[in-house]
Order: sequence, then structure tokens, then C-alpha cells
Amino acid sequence: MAPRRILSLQCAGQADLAALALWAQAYTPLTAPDPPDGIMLDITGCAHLFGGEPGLMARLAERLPGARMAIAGTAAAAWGLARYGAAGAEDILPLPLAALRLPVETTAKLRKIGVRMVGQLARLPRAGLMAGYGPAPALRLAQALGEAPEILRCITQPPEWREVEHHLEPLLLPAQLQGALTRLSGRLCARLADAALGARSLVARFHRIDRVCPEIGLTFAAPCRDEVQIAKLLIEKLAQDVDPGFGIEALSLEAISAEKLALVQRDMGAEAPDHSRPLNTLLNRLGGAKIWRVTPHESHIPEFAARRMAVSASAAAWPKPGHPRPIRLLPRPALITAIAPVPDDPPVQFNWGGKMHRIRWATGPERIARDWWRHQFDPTRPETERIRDYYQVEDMEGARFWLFRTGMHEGITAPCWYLHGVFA
Amino acid sequence: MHAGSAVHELRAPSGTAAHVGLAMLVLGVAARQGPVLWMSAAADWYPPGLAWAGIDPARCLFAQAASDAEALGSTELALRGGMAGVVECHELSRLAAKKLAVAARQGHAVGLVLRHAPARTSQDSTAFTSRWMVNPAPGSPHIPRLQAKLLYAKGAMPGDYLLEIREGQNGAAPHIIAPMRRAG
Repeated sequence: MAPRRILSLQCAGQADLAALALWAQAYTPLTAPDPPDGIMLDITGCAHLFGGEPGLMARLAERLPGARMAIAGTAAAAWGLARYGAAGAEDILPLPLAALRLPVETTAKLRKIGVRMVGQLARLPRAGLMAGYGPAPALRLAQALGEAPEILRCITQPPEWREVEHHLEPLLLPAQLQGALTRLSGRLCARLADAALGARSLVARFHRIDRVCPEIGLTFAAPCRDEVQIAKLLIEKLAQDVDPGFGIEALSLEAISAEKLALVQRDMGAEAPDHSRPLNTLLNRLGGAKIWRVTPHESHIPEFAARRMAVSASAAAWPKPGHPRPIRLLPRPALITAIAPVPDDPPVQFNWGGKMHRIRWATGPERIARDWWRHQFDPTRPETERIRDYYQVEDMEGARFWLFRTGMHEGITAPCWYLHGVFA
Repeated sequence: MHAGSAVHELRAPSGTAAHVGLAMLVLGVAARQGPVLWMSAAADWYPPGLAWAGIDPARCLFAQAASDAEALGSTELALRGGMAGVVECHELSRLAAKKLAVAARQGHAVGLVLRHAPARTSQDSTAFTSRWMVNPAPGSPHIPRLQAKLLYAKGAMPGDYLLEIREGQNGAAPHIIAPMRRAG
């Protein structure tokens, strides 16, 4: 196994270190923000892609003018070398004590006994150091020398299904980006097919040379490894979501989650219909909020009887309603003026949308009370707060409506009529 | 009426949902299984109402479109992929109608276009297999009736039909088409 190589980069004036770390994923998949003023890159096995470690540092220095950086075998040593070391130095022993990132008081106490360099600290007996100055100096020294582990909080998991394409000459034209996306999705899908997997969600990142990293996300209703479809969906979103700016030097395509998708043998006979393809396209074109399935919800309140759920969720069985239900339910019941001959009776005529409807017959009432213990009180909709008496009515032309009345004759509140739905 | 792999246009006067009733009858005949896409700008389809008329909401997908063009384009995609599609739109150009019809033929799917429109408009196209004007007809509380006027059909005579929606029976479609009678 190759020895670990960690690059620490100090860059003053960067407000969002996480964004910088995301952009730096063009060079290595493992990057971590390193507050207050830098990032850490685990470049183990990556440097040769950029002309070795000097080449990688030169390239980063070109993109981030004014940044200081150093490469070492441990994160603590790289941090110290980046901030206090000479360019190209690998040895932390001649550095000042501040290079170990110790608290100020501890450094001051050690300075009193004449310890100014890391090398001097390393010569002290560890047990005495622990007893006199707490665990921090010994631990930081051990971490810098690679004797104790240090945890790097990388922004993403080590990706398993990731394909990257680097370009020495930054890409600017849509046709170049489209070609790169097609190649990347082809490579990713070939790997997924070898493992009999399908991607559930994908993200394509575009690493621009000016430290910005736009991305396109795709989610699928069913696992997908159709390279043509993936490339097509990515290219569709390319124009509106990605601004190439001064050029894109690296593209990455990563399957964030993958699920089992069995390999199928295509034969000459009739194939079972597979609706996942149009569904995946619709989901990505319209967006996850604009397409949904419904699941029944135990509530007598008509507007709460169905809940939306994601397209990828499996559908639950629906109970048969005991009473006729309208085919369209108005999102907000419409206040209507109705004439009822006897109080608390169904109306004989009502006015909706500027049209008078005379009623031929009405069935009801179906009395529905609010389940106040389950839903939030909404002061803007008084009709949801009261008992509702629902009537199915048919007007002289045969159109059927679902009306309800809140309030009682001679009750606390005067009766009000609402139209809530239209029957087929 | 041969309803499979074709698009039918169903019109109704504004303020009624009679055309949805006929759409559910057609789905009961032509799309007995597989997903159904319900596409509209308002997204106020009520799933218990579908369940009452015999369409299982568990196999329905509901989508909201920002414009007529998006609704028709998405439905075209679904039809080409073999899903049944019900789309509600206001304007329908001849080109859009032709594209929908081709998509349905390619995907062997049934498509239904619901519109609130008069029986005759300047953009009437003959791309669809049939065009209906559906009016609500006087019925009884548990058996709503529809009066469907066949405006145009390939290889069929126009005429008036009286249809009934029976509670939850549309899965057994022949039972429901049987009471349909030619009125004129």
C-alpha cells in the first residue's frame, strides 16, 4: 500500500471552505475543510495524474494565487509545513512550536522551559511531558510523526461509483461538455453493469478553473444504468444549470446511491413492459415535487384522506370509500351563496362562479367533524374548524357537486355554504 | 369502440367534470393494468373519488405542469414509454395532437385529452381516434349518468350515447358498457 500523502492548503480570504473543498475534489475525492483558513486534501495515489506532487502544487498555486501549501505523510505535519515551513521542506523538527497547532497557553508554558522548536519537544521524555503539560503536546507531536491517528472530516464519503475526466485545456463549448458527459456516463454504466447495479441518484460536478463547482443532480424512480438516458437527461439540464464561466477543467459523475439491478437478457419474444424509463425521465424533467403517488391516510376530513409520496415509494392498497366521493376536490372550498327553504336542509339553489344552479336532488347530510387533535389550527380558514354537513347535489343540467355547510341555524355562528368538489 | 394504442379527446362544458367520468370508463376498458399518469395544471384530482369509480389510485401517478406545452410534452413521453396518460389542457394545436397520436401508437398506450371546450373549435384535428363532447345527464345519487356525443371517430358513425357510472364496477368494464345505449 502506498504511503499516505496529505496536502494542506492555506488560503486567506476564502469565506466558504466547504465550497472550496468541493471544488478541490477535481484533484482527489477526499477533501476536508480545515477551519479557520484552509483545506486538507488526501492526495494518496492521485498526484501522478497531475505531473507528480510538484506538478499538482504548481497547478493549485496557479488556480489559488497567494495560497500556501505543503505535502507530508500526516495531516498535522502538512499543516505545520504549509504555514511555517520553507517551500519543499519535509521535516517538521526544525519548525517553531506553533507549527503543532497547540493552544497558546501550552506554547507559552513550554517556551518558559526553553522549548521553542518541535525538535526540542521531541527530545523530551513523553511521560514527563504528559504529566506536566497535559496530553495535547504529546498527542499533536505523535500525530505529526505518524504515531497516532488523526481524523480528517472529509466532505463526502469515499466514492465507489465515480468517474472523472480531466482536461488540460479548459472546456467552454456545450458540445465539448456534452461529449464529456456521454463518455462519463458510458464508463460509469459499464462499471455498474459489471456489478449488476443501477444508480438511484447521480450527481455530475463541473470543476471550473475559478474555484466554483456547479452541479447537476438526477434522481431515479427505479434503479437505472441506461447510459443513453443518463447522458440525455444530463445534457438537457446542462444549458440551464451549468455556467462554464472561464472554463471547466474537470468533470466528475458519481452515483451517490446504487441498488441491485439484475442483468436482463434481451430476446426476440415479447418483453414485459418496463415503465421505469419514461418515469425516470418525467421525474427529472418535472422535478420531484411536481410528480407524486398518493397513499391513503386515515382521516375523515376529505382534504386529508390522501397524502402525497415520492414516485419511488411502493404504493399501498386503497380502501373503497363508503360514500360517493368527487373526482375533483377544490384545494380551498369555495364560499357560495345558497338558498335553503328550511334551515339545516339542503339548498334548492346556489350561485357559483357567476352561474345559478337549481338543484334537482340532494343526498345527505354526511356529517364530518374536525379531528382537532391531529391537525394544526389554521386561523385563515374558519371553515376547517367546524363541523361540516356534506351534501351531494345535482343541478337541473345534471352536473353534480359536493357542498357543505358549516354552522347551524340559530347556532353560535351563522350557517355558511361552501362548494368543495365536483363529481364526474 | 377500440380504445387501445390511441388518443381520444374528451370535451365537457366548463364547470363540470363529466369528461373525467368518461375517461375513467375508457381506462376501465383499455388500461386495466399498468401505471396511469394524471397530468394537469391544477392537480386537484381526488384519489378517493377515483377509488370510488373503480380506478385504483395505487397505480396512478399525478403530475402538475406549469403550462399546456409541458403537460402535453410530458404526456407524450409517458405514452411513448407505454404508460396510459390522462392530460388536461386548454389549448391544443394540430401539431400537438398529431405528436400525441404518434406517441400513443409507438408505445401501444391509451391517451385521453380532457378539455373544457365547445364542441367545435377552429383547431379541431383528425389525428385522434375519437372526439367526444360529454355532458352530465340527470341521474340518481349512486348511478351518475353521462350523455356522450361522439363528434368524430375513425370508421364510426357519430351519435349520442348515454352512459352510467356504477359504484366501483369499472374494473369489470363490459358490465358498464352494456347499459350504454345509442340515443340518437
